[in-house]
Amino acid sequence: MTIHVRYFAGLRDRRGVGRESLETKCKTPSELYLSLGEQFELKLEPARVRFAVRDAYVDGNYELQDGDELVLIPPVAGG
Amino acid sequence: MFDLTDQPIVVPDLQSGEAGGVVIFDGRVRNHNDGRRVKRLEYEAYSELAEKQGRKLVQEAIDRFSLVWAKAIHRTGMLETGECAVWIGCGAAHRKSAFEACEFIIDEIKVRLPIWKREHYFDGPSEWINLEEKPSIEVDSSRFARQIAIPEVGANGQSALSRAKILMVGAGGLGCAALPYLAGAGVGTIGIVDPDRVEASNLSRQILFSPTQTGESKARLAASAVRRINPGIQVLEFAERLTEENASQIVENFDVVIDGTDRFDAKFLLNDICQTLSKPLIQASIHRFDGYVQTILPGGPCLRCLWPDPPEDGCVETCAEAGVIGTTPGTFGILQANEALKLVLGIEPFLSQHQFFLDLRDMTSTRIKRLARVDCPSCKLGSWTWSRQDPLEILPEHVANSNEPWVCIDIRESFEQRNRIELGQVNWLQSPMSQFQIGSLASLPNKNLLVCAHGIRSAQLAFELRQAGFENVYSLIGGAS
Repeated sequence: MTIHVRYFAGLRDRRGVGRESLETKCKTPSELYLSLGEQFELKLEPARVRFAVRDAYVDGNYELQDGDELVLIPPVAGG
Repeated sequence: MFDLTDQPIVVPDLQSGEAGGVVIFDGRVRNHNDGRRVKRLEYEAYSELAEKQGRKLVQEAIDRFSLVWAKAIHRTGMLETGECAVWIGCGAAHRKSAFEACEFIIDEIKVRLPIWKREHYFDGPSEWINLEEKPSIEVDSSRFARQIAIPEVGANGQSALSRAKILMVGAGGLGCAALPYLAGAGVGTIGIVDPDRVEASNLSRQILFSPTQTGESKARLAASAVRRINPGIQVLEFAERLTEENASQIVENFDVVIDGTDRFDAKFLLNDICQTLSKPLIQASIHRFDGYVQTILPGGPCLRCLWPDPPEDGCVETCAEAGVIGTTPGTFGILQANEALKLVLGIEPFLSQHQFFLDLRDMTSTRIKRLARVDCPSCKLGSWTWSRQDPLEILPEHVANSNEPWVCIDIRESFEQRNRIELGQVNWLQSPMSQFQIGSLASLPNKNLLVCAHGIRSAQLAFELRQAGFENVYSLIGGAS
């Protein structure tokens, strides 16, 4: 299925792009983040990342659907 | 420390070996004003309050400028031209702070103290002058005319702003952007917490500071910048780090808290303290070109609903490591100020259920619905409603149509025409402003309505009395004329 991924803050910097669409067999945000983390050396441990789908926070075990936009949100403290 | 006197001012004894610099200000009655020749000047004071606020002001100057001593004396009664009307002396270890303190005291006396002056001219009847310099609602209606014109603000909203107390934690990129707008809008009390001193690398985004000020306290510099924008408000500086030990003591004196810190430990501490003390918290965090802002109300959802614990050091980069462009904290600081003003004015919806993300690189925004975690260690899921503060100024219809026990106090002077305005079944009594007796105020549940000719002096006096703790005092809009 196709998932539109948006990267926020430090994750965006490490990935090098703000958003991308990709084909994946991963079923949940946690699974997809693990795979992206390895592929692009995102460094931030999975427990530290929060996920949002369709403008609401979701659990790491949320069941992704074809065409979902998944936002990856790391902790941010700058001010 | 502060005296009011109807006798000629006698210069006090200034002996003190500790003060290396002593600055004296001697304010005299001038023989002309605005092109007219002045014969003499008459000062009237609302003495109890003037003395109380005068003592508070002098003590504030001593604390703020680390003075060895300070004293101020203000005249009342009739004065001839050339006579001393106000005398101020400040002694400090070094001259710079003595100069600054002396100027601060005279500026603030003019704004804060309920003392009025009437000029007697050679060529016509006398006039009360400088009434517009006082922090009255009438002053505000010209200074704040553009925002009072918005239906969501109005005169009562402006009055709520003047009584609001907002704490800005951090005078960095976010704080430097939020603070000027809070002051400009007329927020009556602003607190600024920051333990740091200005460094050259701050200047690209912390726009209240200049290169000549490196090494100076951010809290102090930000406070004086804010006072320049609006000299009529109270600004409190806390040049210290917010810790578990001092946080409650500082936060409890404010109505709304803005988080402009750049550290996780500070953000979590503020989240917890604001939940404990039931204070709304407006939080923002930024990274290079993007960031988010959210309002955390008592009862949550709060920061710990999303992140139960602060991330370990090294897990996420700080501004110093990642870099930042000034417009990012600038944008988010202004968004925080906007949310704070909305809270004070009761303009809903507040950003209390969503997190607002903005990417300034591609100019996209996302609003993400927050999770309220039932087992959250910090916020208890409760409800919180903002009740806008009691209005200060009210219309005649409001009094005539209410069943509440109103006492109308006519504060016009004996020499003024005292026509009556129809307000229905109310008790009337007279207590001229120049000799206003606090004892004439009726106690709760009675409501005191101050009435003058146009509603200017009554708004001023009502404002001062509210500041002094009398909650059941109101002013009649438009007065009796």
